[in-house]
Amino acid sequence: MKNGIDIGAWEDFPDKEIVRVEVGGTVLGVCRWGELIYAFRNACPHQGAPLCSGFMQQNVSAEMVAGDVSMLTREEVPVVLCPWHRWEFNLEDGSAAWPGFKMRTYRATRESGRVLLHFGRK
Amino acid sequence: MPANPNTLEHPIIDVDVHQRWRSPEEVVDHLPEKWRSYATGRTGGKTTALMPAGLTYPFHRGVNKRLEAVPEDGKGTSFPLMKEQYLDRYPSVEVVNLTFDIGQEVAQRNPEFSAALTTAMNDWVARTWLTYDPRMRTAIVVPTELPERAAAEIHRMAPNPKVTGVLIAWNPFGKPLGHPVYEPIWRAAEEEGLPIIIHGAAGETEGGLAQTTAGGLPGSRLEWHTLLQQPTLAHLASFVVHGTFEKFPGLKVLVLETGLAWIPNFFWRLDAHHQEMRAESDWVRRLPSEYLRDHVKFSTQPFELTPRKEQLIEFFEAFGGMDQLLCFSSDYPHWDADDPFYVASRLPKEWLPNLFAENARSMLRLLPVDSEQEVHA
Amino acid sequence: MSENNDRGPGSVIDATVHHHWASQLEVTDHMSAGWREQLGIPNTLPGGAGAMHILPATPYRRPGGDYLPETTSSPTAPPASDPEFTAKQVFESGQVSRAILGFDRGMFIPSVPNAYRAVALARAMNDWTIDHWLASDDRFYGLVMVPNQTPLEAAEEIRRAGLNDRMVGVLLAANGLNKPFGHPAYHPIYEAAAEMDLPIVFHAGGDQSSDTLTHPTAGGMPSTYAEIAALSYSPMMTHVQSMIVQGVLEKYPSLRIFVSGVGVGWIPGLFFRLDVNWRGLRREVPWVRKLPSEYFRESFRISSWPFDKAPGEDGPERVVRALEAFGGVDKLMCFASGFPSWNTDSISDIASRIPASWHNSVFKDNAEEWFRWPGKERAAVVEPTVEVGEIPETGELGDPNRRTYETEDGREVEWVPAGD
Ligand code: FES
Repeated sequence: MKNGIDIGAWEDFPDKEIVRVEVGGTVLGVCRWGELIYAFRNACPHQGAPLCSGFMQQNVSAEMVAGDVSMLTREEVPVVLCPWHRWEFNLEDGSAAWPGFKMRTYRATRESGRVLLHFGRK
Repeated sequence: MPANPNTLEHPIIDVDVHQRWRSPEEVVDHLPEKWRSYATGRTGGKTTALMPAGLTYPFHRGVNKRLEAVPEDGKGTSFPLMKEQYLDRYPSVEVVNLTFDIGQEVAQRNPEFSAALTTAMNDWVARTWLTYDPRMRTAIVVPTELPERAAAEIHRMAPNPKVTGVLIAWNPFGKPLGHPVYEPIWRAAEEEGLPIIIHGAAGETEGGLAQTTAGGLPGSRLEWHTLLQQPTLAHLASFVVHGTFEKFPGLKVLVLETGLAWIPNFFWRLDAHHQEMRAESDWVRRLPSEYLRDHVKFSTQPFELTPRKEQLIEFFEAFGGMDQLLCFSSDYPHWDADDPFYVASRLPKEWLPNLFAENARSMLRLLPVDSEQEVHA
Repeated sequence: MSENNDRGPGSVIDATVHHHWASQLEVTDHMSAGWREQLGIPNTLPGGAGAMHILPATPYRRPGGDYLPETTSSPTAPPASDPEFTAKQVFESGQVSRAILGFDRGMFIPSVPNAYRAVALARAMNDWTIDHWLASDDRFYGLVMVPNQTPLEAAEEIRRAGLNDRMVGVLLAANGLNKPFGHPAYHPIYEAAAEMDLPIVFHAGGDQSSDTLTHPTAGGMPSTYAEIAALSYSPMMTHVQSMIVQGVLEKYPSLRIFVSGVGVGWIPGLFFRLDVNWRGLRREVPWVRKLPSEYFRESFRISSWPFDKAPGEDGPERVVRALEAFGGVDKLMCFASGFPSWNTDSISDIASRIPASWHNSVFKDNAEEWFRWPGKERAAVVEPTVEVGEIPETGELGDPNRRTYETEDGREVEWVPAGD
């Protein structure tokens, strides 16, 4: 997991906020969700909106859980909502609410108090 | 995604861009004293006084804008932001056609106040946004409930060369717009060479007798927004049946913000009922679609999406192409605004020169203006 | 389009035929003595008077007439009011093996302002259909007419008349409660239909009667029949969308819906738009878990009648190309003649307009699958897996969500406009 690009200290990324980071000419959104950290390209796969101006929410889905019929929000799978048409993309894998579009995501890791960014296929 | 400026070589005439006062005072100050105290003295104050009592389909957290286009203080819209996010990003923009924040304030239940307000709004835009950049042009608002007053307001504003058209933002009589009650407005617009502009229907969202959808009021903004084209269907059909284009052969109609995928079916349905129309009206002398093709154009936004881009093109080509019918609009800074590069990437290349500029040139009144001179109405 | 337009004998199901009564006494004779007295008997007073007319008025009528000529057995009877004569006309070609009767103007009765009369009339109309029509020819099938302004009574009627094996669906035409049909007030009807495994049938025109507050067009009432007819698909778009977005198909997952009288050309335009809007506005209606067009393809079938026409010689081809851009409607469309309406479609005409590869599914298979035919076991109700109407906590967290703004004039904004 070495060879990542150091983009700052863990504390530079406040919880549940999108931070705009520029690495070698590419603008990324980086955001922390509790102990997890995510990175994505600052361009919406729909029309190219600056996703860093969007906001994060929990994923929401509706299903039966353990025999109980209900709506479900999932803390562990945050999404980013686009500032334009408010489509949402899973921060984990970039997937949209329905297939057909995918946000470009990158792997970010925490290594001894620093946040490292890994380009290349996730 | 194409995000670089300069990648679109066509000039762009954007027929639908929105601006809002930073504070209601800007407009209230243009009202005569009587209406100024009326507007500010009522419960709710001047903000609510300028809002119509429309249907309740609020947006996600109350912001119907692109999030980055909301000014730091959250008030109105901002020209510096528009410059940075829009004008500088799309350098080939030649004309920005302003349409207020859809002009819904016209839908006051008090027609005298509506008339005073439209005058104030038109003076406001002439003294503010039209002076910010030489590319700015504007549609004007008129008090549709007082057709003669509306006609007078058209004549008052027409000498301003930056005025491009007449925005119909309120349907006070609950009648499709072909109804003869509206004719004084169409006559004045035709005389001044100004098109009628219908934005996301003619204010049927602002309450009133005409409904925003057929079959009952939908239960969500998602449904309301999806069917925003429905009042426009009735308006265009009634223009044909009431002979509006026979009576006013120079009248043009620009339809904004209703999308475009409904157009083929609509044209076909009207033509399929041509015989009935002729039997019920003295005015229908040509195929309905011929009137529409000669007098009406549609903005591209909100641009529909098909799983594969070829599907939408194939759909339009089955109709015989849409290159003569469409005018590009971004709708900046609203939430459902479209990016011009995106729209260009989803349609046949050959359509683009017409769609981005030439069709709009044939619709809007675009007079030469001295770009150095600030125009005051 | 297709070379061979000859459908073999018995190879067609006609999903919409409009049947009517020769005299309203045929219907009122199925009512209680009290109602019979109250409604009275036509022609017992001068000038034909003597009864309350049971049909609501029709505000828009077609110039030249609403029906095909020569569809009556006697010059004074309404079209398609004689079962034997109608059977002869509908089954004449030998191609049609089954025809579904869906009422004519009678379908607008449930919107009459007297709710009790609407209930009593709906029951009588169903019994009349069974006794007078289904008994006269075993190729006729019926739809349960429901008094939808009283949804609980409507549900009861579905459970009663729907027990008859030849009643293959439930008809919802007049908009009795002035709301799009997905509105929760209507849900007891869907619950009963799902329980009886009967598809719901929406028919054009239900927002047109003077008795309903809903309008047949948005933007104001048109002046002519031509406008009403050309735009008849617009209220149907509202209803179809409402069923999907208001979660009816999540609440009653096995419910099937059939739409009749508005053609199919409106489908691509609606879903190209609704699908994309859903991606951004889905949190308003989180129970809509799938792309709206997915619900549509699963739970709706559409009548071909009146089949869409584009002008010009290549019109038929262009209509099909437009539908194919949506992915085709061959799995969705069921042939319907609409007999005896003025724009009745013939089998050979429709066969010539659509690709040959669509024929089997459109003329028979889709309707065979969709309606509950006699002998078919009633499928069990499928339980929902989501609570429609429940809004989850989504954790609206983080910047810029917590940015606070002053309002324009320092007060709380009382009214947030819908406009965009
Ligand atoms: S650009 Fe992001 S949702 Fe449209």
